[in-house]
Amino acid sequence: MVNMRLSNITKKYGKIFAADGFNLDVEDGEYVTILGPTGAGKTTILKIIAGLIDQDSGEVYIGERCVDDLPPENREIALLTQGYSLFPHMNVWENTIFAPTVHGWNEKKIEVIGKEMLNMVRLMDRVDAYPRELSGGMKQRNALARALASNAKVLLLDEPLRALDARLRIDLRYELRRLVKDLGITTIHVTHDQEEALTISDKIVVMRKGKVEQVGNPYEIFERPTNIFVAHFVGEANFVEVVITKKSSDKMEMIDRSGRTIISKPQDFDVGKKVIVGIKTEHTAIEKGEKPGTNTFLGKIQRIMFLGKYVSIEVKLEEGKKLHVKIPTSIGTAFKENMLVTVIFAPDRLFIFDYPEKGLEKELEVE
Amino acid sequence: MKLTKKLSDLFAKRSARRGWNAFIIFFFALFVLLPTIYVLSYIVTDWGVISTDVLSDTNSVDLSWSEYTEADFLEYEVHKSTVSNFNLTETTLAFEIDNNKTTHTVLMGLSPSTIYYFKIGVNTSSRIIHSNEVNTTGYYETPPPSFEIILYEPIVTKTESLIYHCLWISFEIAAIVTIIDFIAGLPMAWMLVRKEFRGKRFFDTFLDMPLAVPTAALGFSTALFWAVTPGILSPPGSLNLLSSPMLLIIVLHIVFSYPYMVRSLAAILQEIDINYEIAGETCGASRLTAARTITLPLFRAGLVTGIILCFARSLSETGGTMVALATLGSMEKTGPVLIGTWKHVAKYNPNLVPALAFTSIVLILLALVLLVMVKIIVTKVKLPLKKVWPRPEKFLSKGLPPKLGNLFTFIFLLFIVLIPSFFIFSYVATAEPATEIGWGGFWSSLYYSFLVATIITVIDLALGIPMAILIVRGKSKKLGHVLDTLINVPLIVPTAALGFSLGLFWSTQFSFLSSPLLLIIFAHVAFTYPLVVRNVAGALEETDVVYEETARTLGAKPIQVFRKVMLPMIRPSILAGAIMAFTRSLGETGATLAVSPEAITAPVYIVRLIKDHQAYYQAGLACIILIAVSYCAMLLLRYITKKAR
Amino acid sequence: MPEVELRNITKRFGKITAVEDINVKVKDKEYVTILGPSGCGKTTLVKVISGIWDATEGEVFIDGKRMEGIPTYERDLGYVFQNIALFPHLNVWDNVTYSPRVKDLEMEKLERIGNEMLDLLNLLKIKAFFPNELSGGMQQKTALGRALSTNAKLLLLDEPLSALDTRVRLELRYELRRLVKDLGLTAIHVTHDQEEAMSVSDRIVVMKKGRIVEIDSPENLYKHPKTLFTANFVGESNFIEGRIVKVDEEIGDVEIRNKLHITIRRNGFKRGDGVVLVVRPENLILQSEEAANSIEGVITKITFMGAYFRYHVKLKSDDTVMVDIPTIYKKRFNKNDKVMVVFRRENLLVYAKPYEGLMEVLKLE
Repeated sequence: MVNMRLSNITKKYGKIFAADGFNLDVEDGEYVTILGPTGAGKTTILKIIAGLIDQDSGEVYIGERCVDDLPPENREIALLTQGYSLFPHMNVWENTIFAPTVHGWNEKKIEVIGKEMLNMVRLMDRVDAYPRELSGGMKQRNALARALASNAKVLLLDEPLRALDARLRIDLRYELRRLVKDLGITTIHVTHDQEEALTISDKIVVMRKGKVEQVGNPYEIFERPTNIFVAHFVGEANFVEVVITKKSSDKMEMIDRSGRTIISKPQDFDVGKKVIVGIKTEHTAIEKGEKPGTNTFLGKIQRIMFLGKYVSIEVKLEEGKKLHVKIPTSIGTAFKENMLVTVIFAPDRLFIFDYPEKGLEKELEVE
Repeated sequence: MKLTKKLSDLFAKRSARRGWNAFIIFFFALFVLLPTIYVLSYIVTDWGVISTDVLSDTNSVDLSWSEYTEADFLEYEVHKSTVSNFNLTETTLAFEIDNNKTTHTVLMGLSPSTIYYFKIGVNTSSRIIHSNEVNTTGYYETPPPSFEIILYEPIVTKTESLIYHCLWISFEIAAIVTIIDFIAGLPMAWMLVRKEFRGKRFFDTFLDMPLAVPTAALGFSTALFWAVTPGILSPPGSLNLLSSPMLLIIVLHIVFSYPYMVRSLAAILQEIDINYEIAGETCGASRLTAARTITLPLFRAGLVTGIILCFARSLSETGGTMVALATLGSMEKTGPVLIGTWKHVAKYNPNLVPALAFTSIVLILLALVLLVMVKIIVTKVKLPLKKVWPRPEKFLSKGLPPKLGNLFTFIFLLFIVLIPSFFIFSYVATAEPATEIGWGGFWSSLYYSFLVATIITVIDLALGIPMAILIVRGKSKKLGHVLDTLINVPLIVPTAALGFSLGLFWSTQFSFLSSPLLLIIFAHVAFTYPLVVRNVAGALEETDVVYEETARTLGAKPIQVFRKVMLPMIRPSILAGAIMAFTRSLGETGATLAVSPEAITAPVYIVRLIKDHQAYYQAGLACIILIAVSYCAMLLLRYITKKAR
Repeated sequence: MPEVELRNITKRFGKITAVEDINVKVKDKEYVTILGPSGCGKTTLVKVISGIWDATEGEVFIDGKRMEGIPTYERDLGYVFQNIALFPHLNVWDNVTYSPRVKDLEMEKLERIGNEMLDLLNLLKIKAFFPNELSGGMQQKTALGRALSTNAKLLLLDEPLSALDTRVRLELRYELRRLVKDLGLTAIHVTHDQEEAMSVSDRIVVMKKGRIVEIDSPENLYKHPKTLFTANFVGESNFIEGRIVKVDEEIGDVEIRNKLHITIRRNGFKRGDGVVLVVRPENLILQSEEAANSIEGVITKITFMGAYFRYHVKLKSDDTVMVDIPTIYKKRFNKNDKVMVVFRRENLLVYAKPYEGLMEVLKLE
């Protein structure tokens, strides 16, 4: 359908930047997710694209055209808001054909499009129902049908699954992606839910405080985070402060505050530098008893949390620091609270980051 | 179809929308705001006259005389002299009155140290008649029957203190009424919002009924119920209890201001999440403690609305108060009544204008100052909420005490508000049909009232909804705030003062526009416009803007968004605003009197019937007709707005 | 010590029945979660327990005492609201000390409780802040402090985390359970989020349409759900419909669509019974080679889920199954690969085919 580009978008509210030099390229038919905590400015970006908010500076391009001077109704976008905002005084059918009607298309065409959309979202049998009579999932589907019936070239989704039950959300994200992909429409989806972002997107933009933290496909975002915030926010991670002590062509040695040696693949840091090593809790291994060697942390299991597919184990080290390990339930059941265990950081799974200016705590804030 | 398309294309342009907004602001400024407070300019331009005529220790005298009823009437002449037994000459002539029904006048600027003598002359086509002579010494002898025109005993007062006295009464009454309304209205609002009980919907409707009754009718009805009146005015059930004019006015003002208070309190209460209170209770606070320490403080900002509405309403009321006082036979006056009376006289005696202007100015300024103070006090002063009395409050929260409270609220509504409102039916049903003055005057006044009410409702809607949109959805938040504050000014300014000010504005600035009908329409627009704007703005604030945004992104042009999305969602509030504007216009007396004494609307006619003609039975019947017709109009309005879907 | 018992609780609103004939017993110091989809009546239950609403029928016992006629403020409980409901005109300190204040405790005691709470929740730094100055997580922590400072031993949590971001939710749920256990409270927690329920509770009450479906520990619910609804609602599952064609001493043979067969451990089912086989995505094995008890299929979709890859495999039986393979496993598959999906008998759950149809039973709303 169409590609899209945001160039250097900035928007300030008082002293706070909702968007701070925000850049984004979206390819034709791509499904892009903007992922970030509440207050990161995600919704502002959507509204700027839609033309509902004017940016202070920067340009929005849809296709090759800069749309900054166009009002929302002429931008050929469709916005699905958080609460769906189905018009309460219209039934499913009237809501669905809202865009065709205001465009003044002929009645036959309206009829055809309305039916097509409602069939697609499986709501044809509820055409007479009013929004208040629909369940959460149905509302979402009705809103989607309404948005798609507008013949928009770009679909903007603002937390489209947030209002739904957790379990339903899981099923609907597959459905959402399938629908959008079948139509080949370019989509920007905003969410704070990292699992949702991983599952649904072609490309994820991690956003914090109006700025892009990292752009990449789900795999890159999860497996190769470029900074502490992304590593922590997408999935969970353990972080340890270390100083680099040795570096050779095939490995790098570091030492933490309690004198443990940690080894990783060599990276572009100088010896003597204070850095943070991080590892996803899913990549962290755990074994019973005391295991000697590098990259090991001896501690006691403080708590085990059953998560279904996984077990999350909290291990308290001697110095009081806590590490988390997430392992499949099948092996997790072997561990019990108060057990002496060794947590192992696999050297090839380690991320190494610059020590943050404002301290580690600040980087780990998720709201 | 083509026109709508053109319109929607036009409004899709930013420049067109800007122009339209500018027009709305211009309308508001020129037709509503400026005329409302125009009289304040008198402080600058005519202070000299005010200070010599009103403030410099002068007296005024009220004269009234018997009506000359022959057909050859031309005019009354009011004569004043400083010597007794004077002859009527050009030099003694103060002014003339060309209406034989006007048998009351006021003269001002009289020096207290001088004795003045007065006579009334009647010019007829064939002869000149003169009345007996009265003077300001306080000595009055009933004239011998040889006089065809009898001048009654004059009332001499110091002008300045008369004004202050009347204003003081007005403010005193408004304050007392507001306090009582609040005390009795809070539990009622609480019940309506927080409690579920059988018949709640009926209750809800009953509460609003007094609002649809024109205050002149209310005044008569309430006076019949409460006041000590002569036998013919004491139908079965009449209490014959109150002989004090003050108390009667208070009771009357409660009747029509109580629903306002309850409604605004209920509206705020509705907005306060009930979970706050429940959270308080789960923390161990008894119901009363939770309400007092949590809901009440949250209430505060909104409380101002209720207080202002009640206070302003009581301060404004003219027609009902006049009727009630006349029924009681009292000469007492409130500020607006004074303005109404004087304005009537000022038509023939222009010397009254400075005094009128002064009274209006003081009324407007005091009202504004007081309300700013109320706002400050309510928002700044802290209620002693930190202290808690767990045991007594727990006792009061459970079992009998809350039930008693509810009972008291019911009784209050029934006996103080509802029965007095409709007591007039009892009177008309039982009273002896009395001599009639003829119904022609009433029907034409009714037609006049409806004409005005209909026109102003249309104007209010057409220009009020865009104003509300501009306030709530306008690009500039600051402009919205300013407009929002200014829009309240005409609500706060007592309508009699507003009417006087407005009449002055149009007749001095644009005299070619000052036909009575136009003036009345302008005046009624001025004080009803804010009602529509506020109602619609309130609804818009509550309607999430995402609906409109979504519609825009779906390709709807601004005018389509308005028609297809916004309008259907705020329709109930538009209806409420329209009904309010319509009924307020229908019931208004003060502004009408103050703008133009010639405009006889239905309430004005009823006031005349009672005050000037003591035609009680006919007045009662007229009231009932007015009530019935305004209910029908309300239903019709409701029907039309529903149909308009 | 607070034990909570609900006996035959029914609550109706006009003609609508919110909950019907509910019987639950919550033990002292137990953390129980009521889990169910929107509109299943779970919130109604805590409102009835707290006395905010009265039950239409049935009785609530707290500590063995019948609660009828006892108002909320005398029930001695802490309550945390879904929409947080911090008093907006009071700062953090005044919110947290609201309960001691309305109980008119001495100033000294009040300050002690307040400081203890703020310390416990790590809120001392933001003592003077007003609710609108706090982030969602902070607000809910303050609300928790306000509920705990009642000193009540019974804590009711009505969807306490659903207003928060997923990531914040994750961190707060650790905190919740820690607090409840450290302070020795009895907690009743309402949620629609199955993962949240599993991670915090000792026992979970699964509800659907106003009725209890089953009550069990998180692990049992996940591993051996008693109903198809639970199998789907508490964690995802694959469902395959079939019919038992043969039963011998140890195994049963189930014929699924297209005349394919899966064997199961022997259980109470007889030959000819219609059954639904249920298996968790992480309990299926993918391999390229032939294997016992496996069905051939084609990979139609691969999704990266962080810790694992999710493969959607269309089986020859026309059923599509999800298979989760941890990313640490070296072996990867590609889209359109032909694979064998291995069903291990010990991981297969077998249910009778429901007469109202499988889709109907699994419905989430």
